[in-house]
Amino acid sequence: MKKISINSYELFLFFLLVAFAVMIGLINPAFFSLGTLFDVVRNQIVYILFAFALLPVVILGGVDISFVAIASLATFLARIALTNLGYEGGIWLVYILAIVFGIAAGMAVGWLISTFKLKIFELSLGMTPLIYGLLTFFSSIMSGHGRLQALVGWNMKWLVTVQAVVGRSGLHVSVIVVVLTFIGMHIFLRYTTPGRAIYAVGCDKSVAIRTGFDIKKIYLTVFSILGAMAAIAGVTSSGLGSGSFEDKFFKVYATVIIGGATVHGGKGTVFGTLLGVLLVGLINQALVYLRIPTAWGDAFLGVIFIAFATYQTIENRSNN
Amino acid sequence: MEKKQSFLEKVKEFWKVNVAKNRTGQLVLVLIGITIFFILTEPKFFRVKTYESMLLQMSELGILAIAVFLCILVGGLNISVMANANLAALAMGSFILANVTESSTPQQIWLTIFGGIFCALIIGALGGLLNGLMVGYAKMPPLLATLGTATLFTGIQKGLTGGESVWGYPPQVEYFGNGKVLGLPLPFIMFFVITMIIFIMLKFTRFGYKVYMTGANQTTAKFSGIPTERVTMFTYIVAGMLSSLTATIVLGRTMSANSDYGLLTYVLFTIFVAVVSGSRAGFGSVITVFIGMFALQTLQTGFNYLLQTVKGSTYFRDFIWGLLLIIFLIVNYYANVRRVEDN
Repeated sequence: MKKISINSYELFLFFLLVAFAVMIGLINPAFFSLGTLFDVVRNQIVYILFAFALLPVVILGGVDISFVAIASLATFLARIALTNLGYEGGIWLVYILAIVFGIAAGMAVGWLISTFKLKIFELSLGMTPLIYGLLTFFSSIMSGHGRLQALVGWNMKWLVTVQAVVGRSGLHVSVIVVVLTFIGMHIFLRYTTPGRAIYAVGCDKSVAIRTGFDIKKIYLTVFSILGAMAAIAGVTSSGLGSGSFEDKFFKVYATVIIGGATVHGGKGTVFGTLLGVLLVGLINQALVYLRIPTAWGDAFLGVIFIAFATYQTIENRSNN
Repeated sequence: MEKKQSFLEKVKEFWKVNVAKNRTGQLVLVLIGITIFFILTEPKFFRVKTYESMLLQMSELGILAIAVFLCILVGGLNISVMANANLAALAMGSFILANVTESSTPQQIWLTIFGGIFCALIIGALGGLLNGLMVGYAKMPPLLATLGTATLFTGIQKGLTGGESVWGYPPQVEYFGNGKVLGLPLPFIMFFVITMIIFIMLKFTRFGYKVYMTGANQTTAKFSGIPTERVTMFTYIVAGMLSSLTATIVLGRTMSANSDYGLLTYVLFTIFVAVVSGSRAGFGSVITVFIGMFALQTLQTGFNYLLQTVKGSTYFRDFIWGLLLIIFLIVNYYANVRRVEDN
């Protein structure tokens, strides 16, 4: 029964997405082009990866804000290490090294939370300045390290390019990363026991404990995924040159909620999250096409978030 | 010999009641300890000037910390206080800008400023009302509700101003940030008075009692006939109005209204103060919050003096705050474990 309701929500999101696109297209026909699609995807690639990082935590019912800091930390460490080694190969080793650092950082967070029974939000509130402070402190000391060779030119590698209204648009190579992580996360969350365990804990922690799930192991798994995915997002972001993500945690969080993961935990799918990110991306794009100043973007997001969260809360209560 | 032992026992008893099991006592001890430490290590620390600037700096944050403390007390959390304060500062500033002309007499300007403060209070109360409706009546998880409203408030301000800061106020506004009454900074007097008012409200009024009851156990409170929804909502409204009072200080100190003033750092610090003071749903005292705020400010100012000469020390300070927060969270965990064992 539950399976159907989740799927119907995804269907609803999908139709919302299409309806929205058609609406913008009717107002401004220039919107209907492969170039626009590629632009939306490209602008959202890093958000998609961050949303995947956050999804397991949201399924657990928590709020984490340290994932952006972990992403910066993992990327920074991988870059420093490889630059010092004089590495000149491709970007894939940067990914692997960053993932290792990310998992280490994530496991540290998971260990602290499960050992001392801390609230995820409070700990991440402490983790964020701790990591950023460390990062900026060291990078202010180690000035003058160049850009890693592996990342140069990465932002211009296209799978397909098309002629757009202004210049060229293309499908970026890092879409491969998104597809791979999408498949990996989907299989993990849906078809493996540790993946299902996350849903169990998110639905009802005390029942999950009595059923015999090892809470500590689950927390470690969730935060390892968070660290690994954040690292992937960080490297992708730095390769694309899309700038700082320090203050974007709310946007990521809102997209995950809009994508069908509930504020109470225990729900959420990878596909829904993907749709949620694309919907938010489309809304941002729409503001441009509808000639609404982009400064109103955050206010829109806030309203949409509050609407979705209120709806979820009311539905959750009527279910009980 | 016998007399000495009884004195020792008295000290032990005093220790047990006021320090070992009382967060206020612990914080007073910590405060004295770090003050002595900084006096010994930093000759410039123990001066009137240092304390003046400390009192000034802690007030802004302290009022917000009390707002967050109230929300935690009623069983929630509030991370939208600073966003609310920024929006209130914009409302106050815009009202003043719209009503003050070059030919205004000082008296008219003062009247306009008080009108501006009224606007700020309304915006703060409305923000609190929105939070209160979402948390109290819609029963949304407080962290999420206030996360949403924080983005909404900041977004509205960004949309209205285009992300720019708004300035150009008459110099009288500065009085709220830097003015002095009886030799003490006005913001500190506000902070102190608010602490006292909230103390009296929590300790001696029916509303305060209901706040504690709602926070301690909402179901029990509900069955005892306490309108928990309304109590929660009013608590959030009070928190919103405290945000507006902070807004007057921020506006006076910076003489501009910004949408991104201190958003993440202030959230960190207000929750830090709440964690340090050991506040949780249904338990905690505003006096502890006050002393905790004082201790944290002493620590910050002392660090500033100590690390003045170190390169990149500002970043290092962030690191220390994060570390301290995590340490205090762990300390609270052990305090909780002990409390459970005692019972």
